[in-house]
Amino acid sequence: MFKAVLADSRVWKNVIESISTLVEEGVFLVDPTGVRLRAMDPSRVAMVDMELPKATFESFECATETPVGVNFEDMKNIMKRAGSSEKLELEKGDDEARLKLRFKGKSSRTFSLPLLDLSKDELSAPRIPFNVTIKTPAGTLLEAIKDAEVVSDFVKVNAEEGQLKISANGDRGEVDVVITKESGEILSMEMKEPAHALYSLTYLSKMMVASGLSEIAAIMFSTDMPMRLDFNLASGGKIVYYLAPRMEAE
Amino acid sequence: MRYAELAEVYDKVSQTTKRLEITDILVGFLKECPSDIIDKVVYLTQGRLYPEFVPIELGVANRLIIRSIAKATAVKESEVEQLYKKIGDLGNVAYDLLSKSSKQSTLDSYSTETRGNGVTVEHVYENLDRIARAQGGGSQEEKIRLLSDLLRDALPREAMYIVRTVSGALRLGVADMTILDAMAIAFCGSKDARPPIENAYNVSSDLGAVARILVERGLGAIKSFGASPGRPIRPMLAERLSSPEEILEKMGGKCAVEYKYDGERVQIHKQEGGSTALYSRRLENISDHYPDVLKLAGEGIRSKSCIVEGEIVAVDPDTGDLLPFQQLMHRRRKYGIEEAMSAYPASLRLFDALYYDGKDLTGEPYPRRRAMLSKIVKESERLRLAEQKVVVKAEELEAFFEDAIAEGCEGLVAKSLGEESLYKAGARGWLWIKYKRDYKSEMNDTVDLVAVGGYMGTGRRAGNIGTLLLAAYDESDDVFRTVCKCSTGFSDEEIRNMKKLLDPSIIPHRHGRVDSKLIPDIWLVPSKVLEIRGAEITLSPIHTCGLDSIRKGAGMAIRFPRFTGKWRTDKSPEDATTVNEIIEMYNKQLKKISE
Repeated sequence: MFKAVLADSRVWKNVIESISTLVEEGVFLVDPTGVRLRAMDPSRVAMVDMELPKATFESFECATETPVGVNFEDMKNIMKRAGSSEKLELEKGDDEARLKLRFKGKSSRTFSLPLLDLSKDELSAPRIPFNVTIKTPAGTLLEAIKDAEVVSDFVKVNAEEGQLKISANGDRGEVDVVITKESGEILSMEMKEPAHALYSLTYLSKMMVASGLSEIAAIMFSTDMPMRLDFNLASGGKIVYYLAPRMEAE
Repeated sequence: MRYAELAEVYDKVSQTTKRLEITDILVGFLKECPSDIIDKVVYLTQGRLYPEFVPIELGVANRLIIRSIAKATAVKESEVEQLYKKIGDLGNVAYDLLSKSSKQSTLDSYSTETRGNGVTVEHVYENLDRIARAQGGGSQEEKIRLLSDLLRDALPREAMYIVRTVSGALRLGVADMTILDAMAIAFCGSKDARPPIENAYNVSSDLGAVARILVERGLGAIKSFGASPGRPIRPMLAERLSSPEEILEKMGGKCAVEYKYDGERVQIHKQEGGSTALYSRRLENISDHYPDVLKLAGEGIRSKSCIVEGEIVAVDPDTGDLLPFQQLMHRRRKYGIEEAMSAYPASLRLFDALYYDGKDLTGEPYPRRRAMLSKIVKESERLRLAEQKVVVKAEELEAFFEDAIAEGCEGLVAKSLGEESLYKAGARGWLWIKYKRDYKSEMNDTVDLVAVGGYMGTGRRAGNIGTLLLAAYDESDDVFRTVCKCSTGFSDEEIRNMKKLLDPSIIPHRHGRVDSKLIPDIWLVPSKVLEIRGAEITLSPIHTCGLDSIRKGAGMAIRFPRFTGKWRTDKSPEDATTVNEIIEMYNKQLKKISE
């Protein structure tokens, strides 16, 4: 059994939106240290890795590891009902196949969500050496991706000394977005060697749903290798995405 | 075993039409094939997972295949669909998308090393089997998941054949007899070993099982292989002659004649311990269509286990007269069997016994089998033996024939009475000779129908309009009501030019004067009139011509429509055959059968 209280129900709302954008169902693992979830999208192109440590919560009680399998669409619909100044209480009894979500504000509203019996084979996160790590305001990255979407379905990401270039071209035109250290939009940059790779915008734009959770986005990648995109929550915890590259035409 | 090896065999086989070459290719492959999957490989080669009589079939809708390909290749569904429209074969679509060099990779490629080797036959078979068995809520998603899992790991060539297999479009054209030849050569050294192998196949209808027994237990086991309840026997077929004199001559002056009922041929298998199954002439399990026949058989056949053969016929519950075969077709569906059972109760007319209480009777001559049949069957009003008589004179035969016709039968089957009159499973021979009225097309006249829509073709006709939706004219409401979809009778050239020909009539929506439940790919302004010849007119829930006129909810359809080659440019659409004329033709046709 476990019981966890979040001071702001909207944090959970955003977390769920950031997961449901990629996967339909999955298993939260709740244990004495907090809540985590790792899931792959059905095409196995992208992965989401979420962690909310115990400290994120106002109160947190959990004695043993408890898997909680849910349909994210259903949970998202419940979370749409979250009020702006409401607390959220998550609770599951030992033998219950339901998760209680209680909104506590002016009134107390309790939803009960049926749980899914999903296998909980734990996925391992891809172990990839990243040659480039760049931190940039999440909003700046979001705008760059929106720009690229205007003309194409995929984007070329290019890191050189002092700058990150995001470019796209397609039948509808071309676009180049350059984010530089000089302009102050690159907050930090570690680079072992320059890197470039193509990524699907369909996935990237889904992943940018999480940009609402964090001021800062961290991009990690290497040439023609998967990208890792980190969003650290102000309230503690993080959402990490992995995205496989598109291979360049020969 | 790698599925790629099987794909290579498919490749080679589809590049030749010569039977000997196909046999050689199969021989080479069968020798290499591990014995524990040889049955599966044999079924897969036939585009199946099981022998025909096992009611587990593939046949995944194109829509689901498109979604699976999209999922496996991370390409948008709309793109897959577009490519399909262009290429016309989903197998090739999968091949193209998987072999494209610029493509979305998956995270798997960065964490495992399994990619690039393709899939195994075992894995393909297992997933296809689960796809075929999936049913009920969520089964569509399950099918997509299973198929996309396979496609994701498959090599492009493998994906092509996997897709063709699930869509039921494998069609390698490898005849059963070719596989039997290949088995004889691969496992016994020469074609000489084929007769016992073929016999084992004929009494079991299960090529896969025969292959596996041959490999694992040898030719001896095959030779002692007999009929057994639960495995349908490939039906014995009759030759045909058109005069009583010829028949008697062929039969040596004396033979038995039996009514040839206009029904559905059935093999009834009663297994020890109680379960009974019905198999059609094409060896499908049709038990679910005829609960009443199962009950009849349960009550009237006195044996622990048996295989008997006969005809299911529809009988008018009011008059006891035999009804035309069409009435039984109401059973060929999933729902409404209860209603059909009370409206058209089925009866049985049995004519052969092939197995009785542990004994294979196919090696017994006909008179003894028939005697056995009458011993084990307790006749009732609805369960009877086929009318039968022994004749020596042509006049006797002709008189019996006329009786049969008068009672609504198709004609007679003459059967040899000699010691050689064994049950020759799967063979057409002169031991049985059918005698029918000279075939008259049930539809005596051609009709002139109006094209109101078109469907895009696939395969060889990809990119062209391959099928026309045709309608009859209803003068009372001044509309055109659909009566059939026609895709035969057109020359290749006509198909190529169809788009151009119809182009001026193509509109983006249904024409206001067209009444159709079907939605074709292309709608047409009614203008072109075609001359069509059909085999017969049947009731149909999908067409609007004559809707509700015979039976509520049913319109009329022309079965097996074929374009005669004549565009009736002299006729305006309003001059086409009318709905009333088609209803009249239908009524006439019914009269003829029950005359």
